[in-house]
Amino acid sequence: MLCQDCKQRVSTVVYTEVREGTKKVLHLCQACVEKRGIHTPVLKNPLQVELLFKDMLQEMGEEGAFEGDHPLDAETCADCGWSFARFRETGLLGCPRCYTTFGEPLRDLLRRVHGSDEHLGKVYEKGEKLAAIEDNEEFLREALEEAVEREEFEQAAAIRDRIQRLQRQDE
Amino acid sequence: MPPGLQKTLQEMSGRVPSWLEASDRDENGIVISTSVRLARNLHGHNFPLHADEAELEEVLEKTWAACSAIEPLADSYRMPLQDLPWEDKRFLVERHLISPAMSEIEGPAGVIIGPGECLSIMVNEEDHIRLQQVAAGMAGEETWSVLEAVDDALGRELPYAYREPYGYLTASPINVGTGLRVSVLVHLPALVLTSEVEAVLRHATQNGVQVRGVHGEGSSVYGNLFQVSNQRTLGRSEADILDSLQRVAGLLTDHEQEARSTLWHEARLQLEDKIHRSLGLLSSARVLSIRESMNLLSAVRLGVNMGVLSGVEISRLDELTILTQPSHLDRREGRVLDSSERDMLRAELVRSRIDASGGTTSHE
Repeated sequence: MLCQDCKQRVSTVVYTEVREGTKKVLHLCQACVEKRGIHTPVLKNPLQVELLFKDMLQEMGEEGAFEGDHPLDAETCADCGWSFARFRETGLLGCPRCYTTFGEPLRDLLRRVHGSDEHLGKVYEKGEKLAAIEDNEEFLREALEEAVEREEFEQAAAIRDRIQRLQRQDE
Repeated sequence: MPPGLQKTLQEMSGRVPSWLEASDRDENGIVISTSVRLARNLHGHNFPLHADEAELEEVLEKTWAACSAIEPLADSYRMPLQDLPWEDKRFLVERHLISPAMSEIEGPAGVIIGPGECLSIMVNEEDHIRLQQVAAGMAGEETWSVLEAVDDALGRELPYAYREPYGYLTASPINVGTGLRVSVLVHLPALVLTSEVEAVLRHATQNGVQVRGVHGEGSSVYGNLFQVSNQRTLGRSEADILDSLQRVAGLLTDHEQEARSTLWHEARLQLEDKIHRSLGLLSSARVLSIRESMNLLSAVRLGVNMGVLSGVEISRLDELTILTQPSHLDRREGRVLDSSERDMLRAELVRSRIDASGGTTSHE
């Protein structure tokens, strides 16, 4: 994540300050740490992205109505049932679809962890095709539900056929 | 458990991984090895933590099948881990073929090991697939090109989970994007002796890398070995990540060289004394803890690198670093030992490979 002081360099130090009984956690880069005159031994406070990430997930717990809550905690992935609360607890997602389910808050986390929300590097073309099929399927499922609601059963059956064809393609 | 498995483990225990055999190619011996790791998952499956036994089994089966279908893995060995005893898993951890986290997993899981243990593929760890390639010295490009070919072939057989704009999707958002972690193992004894290691490593982290001691934790790191790896996997290309690790390894090498030269010019007697004492202890001690032996091996390695000792081969030191680990000693003896038995056996093994006459002072 970016340094909270300069907001330019990547933070490499987690600094916990306790002043008059209140705890404050800062993510800083080395230059800003030196500017503040803080001494931080690197090996005693190992700079591990896992630790930084855990901190971030915990901090999110201050955004909810109660202590330790996040407004999205009850949200679950339609594909795998994993909740945002479980994600914050474990640091792990339930399935690849969770990346879409937890949309903006996850994107925000990625920006903070990686300083970016966009993949650069090797492109997996087959993956793009699979994702397109998956999106198509989701779109069709919604259309199917609507057709059933409107009691247009012929149309619903046609949509169901298309979904089945897509699933065969997927395999 | 397949009948050949125990035999395979036993054979492995007597030798070092073949990639270590080339370990003297880095002339100053500072960069010990480079490893590259890719995290991959299967499209349409829950990540391992959230998958039930049947799904894990299915992922394992699919991956086994794909691996046996591709050319780069033709001579590799498939090892199921589910029913493997704990001490055997720990043995694989000591050889860096599986992660410590993987040794705790009890469900359907496995590891595929390439010839010479250069390549390993963990199935159903935190991600469905973790591919790793390792080589001696600074070898980012070489290891990456081998691993990329395996990844390409496997990606044709299997449907990887991938979606724009995030790239390869992983169980932890920490690994998303390239899924690539490049780690360089460095030996920095002179920087530890001159107490500069903290400052130098701290400076290195400014290049987007993270550092940890290989043996021990926090301030009680021993053996002077440090692992440096990239922090970020998203928004940086594979080439960019490899490049930054190469740069940091170069930086650390320069600092270590400088510290060695300072020691040579300002405290040569003390340095030579430390190196010769270490050799003396290794060649005559009757009890050696792993902490002590790693520290002594580190000092002797420094002595060989700096030309203080001749007649001790680096390959011997590498071999001992691997073979004196707890599970390796257990295998040697054919049973699980207690720590005092291990300390005795370790000293015996070290004595059999290193003799005091190996240490002759050279004049620069």
